[in-house]
Amino acid sequence: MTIPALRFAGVGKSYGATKILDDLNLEIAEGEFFVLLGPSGCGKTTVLRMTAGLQPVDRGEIYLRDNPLSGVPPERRNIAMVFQDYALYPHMTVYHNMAFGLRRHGHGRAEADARIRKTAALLGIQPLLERRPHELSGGQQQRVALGRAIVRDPALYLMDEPLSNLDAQVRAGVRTEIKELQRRLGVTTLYVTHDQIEALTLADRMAVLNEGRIQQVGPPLDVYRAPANEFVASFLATPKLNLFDGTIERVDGAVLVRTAIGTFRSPNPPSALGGRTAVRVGLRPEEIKVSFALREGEPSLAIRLLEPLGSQVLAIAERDGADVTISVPADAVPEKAERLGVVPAGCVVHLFDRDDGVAVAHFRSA
Amino acid sequence: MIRRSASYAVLVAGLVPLLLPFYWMAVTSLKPKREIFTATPQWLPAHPAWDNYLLAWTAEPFARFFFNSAVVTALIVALQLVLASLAAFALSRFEFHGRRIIFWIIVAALIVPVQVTFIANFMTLAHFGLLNTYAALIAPYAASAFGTFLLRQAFAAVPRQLEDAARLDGCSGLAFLWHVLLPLSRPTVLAFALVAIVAHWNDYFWPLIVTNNNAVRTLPIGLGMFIGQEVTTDWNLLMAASIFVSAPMLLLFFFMQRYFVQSMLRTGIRG
Repeated sequence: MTIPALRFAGVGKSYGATKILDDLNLEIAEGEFFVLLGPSGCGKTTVLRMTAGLQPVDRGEIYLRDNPLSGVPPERRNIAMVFQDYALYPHMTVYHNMAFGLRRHGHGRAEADARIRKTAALLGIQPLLERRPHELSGGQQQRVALGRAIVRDPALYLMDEPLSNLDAQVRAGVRTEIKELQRRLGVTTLYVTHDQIEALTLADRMAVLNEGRIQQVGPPLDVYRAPANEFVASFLATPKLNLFDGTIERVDGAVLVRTAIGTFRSPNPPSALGGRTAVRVGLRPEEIKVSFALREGEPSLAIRLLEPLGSQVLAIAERDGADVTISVPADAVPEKAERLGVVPAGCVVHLFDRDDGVAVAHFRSA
Repeated sequence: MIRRSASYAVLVAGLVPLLLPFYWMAVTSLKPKREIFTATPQWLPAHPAWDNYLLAWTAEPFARFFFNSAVVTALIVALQLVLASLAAFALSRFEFHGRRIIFWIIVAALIVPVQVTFIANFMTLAHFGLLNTYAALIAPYAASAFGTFLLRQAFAAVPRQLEDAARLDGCSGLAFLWHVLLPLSRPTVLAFALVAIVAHWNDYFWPLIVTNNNAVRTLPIGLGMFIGQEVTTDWNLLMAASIFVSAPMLLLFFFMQRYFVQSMLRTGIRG
């Protein structure tokens, strides 16, 4: 068996009586791009800071290539970190920002220079080397912050929401760049974010963290398609997950899920459903099929608001006082649309236990 | 155009009372004795007496006083910078018991007029037999509450992420203070150093109390010795001496004014 690049074994952290992190167990493979996704305050930054050695671990141990990290000071861990606010030294030029860590780690002037030139070429920041951070744009500062990590040639990159301070337009570009760079360099990366798009686009594998506990680990699309519980499903839904109470009926070997917005049919009853008769039903806005051509007397929802997003339109509809948010292709929405009907066939339905929110089934309605 | 002229007029009106004493000092320093007290103000010396400067310089051991002032001021400011940055470093970047209380005690020390401490300091120095030494001039000022407070505020403004980044770069503790905190707080350090240099170069009261011997006397004391030392005061010589006593500070401001104004704006210090 290969040794994981990074391993968390029963790692815990508390501030006084508050548990920040509870029994974290996780293995990250060599060269893997691993994303830790979670809302603010879920403990994800604490994981990074503990790995970097900036915060002590209260319980458990973190291993870097099987070497326990506790007691090793940050500068001896062979780990580089990219910070949310870049944390470039304002009084140093880009060149010296990159040289500082190398020189402090005992590399000679000539070697440092060679590495800086090479990294600068890789990132296309050679023209910026003599500038100071305040003379750079946000995207350029971000690139320099990456350069400062890359130039050290560490065993592990830690990235703490490195895109959150960038404009939306720049962000997508830098995101692609980070992914390509990581592929090219093959350095294990632990990346922390609260942005589901970043997690889905960047990760080889990801973990969803909430209240100090891992909710689910897996490749991004697996997590997206089969969320392990209500929390993961709602966190990976934009703008929000539609949740309804549902009742289960079994007819001719198929299962019918009745909800306020329609009845969904699964031809092959999922085994995890067991004998339940009541569930929570989750549908993401983009997983609901709708029709605007309504027949007389057909059940329909009143549209309260249409929010055009460009290619998609968000329809906020209402049925018996319950809001439903649905994402519809813009060209499918007629002018002055007032009502829409949910087409049950083709909707992707997630069923959760009523009490603990654990997922019991995911299916495409027939 | 009119508004502009008006604002210049205001500035000039403000400058005249400010510069007049300097002008009068310079002019008087060049006047022969008989031109000093005249019925009508004499704006320029009729017969410039350049040797006033030589006479003043030799009237008292000013070379010695200059040396003493320079040594004392340099050591005070150096000690203040070292102690204030170390104390400010501890107060701004470390968690320890009593940190807040210590900080507030230092702030409270700012409220106490320095004269209040004179008797206690004098008796302590006398007890150790240190009167009439450089130590007597320097020791009471080695630690500055004002400097500690200013630097603590500047250091506290440096974001934690920068400290984290420095730690990963292998730069923690005093190396972080030296390579990151102090360079980033340069405007504050400069402003404080300038204020301290001026204050201690010009200090009269404390050196007057703890020195009575030319070997350790400083420039302001040397100036004071001109007055009333003989039956009459040689005002022209006193003014000549005043010129060379204040010249270093004027030069300092002349070359550093850019930093000085910037720093004051940045830190909100008033001198």
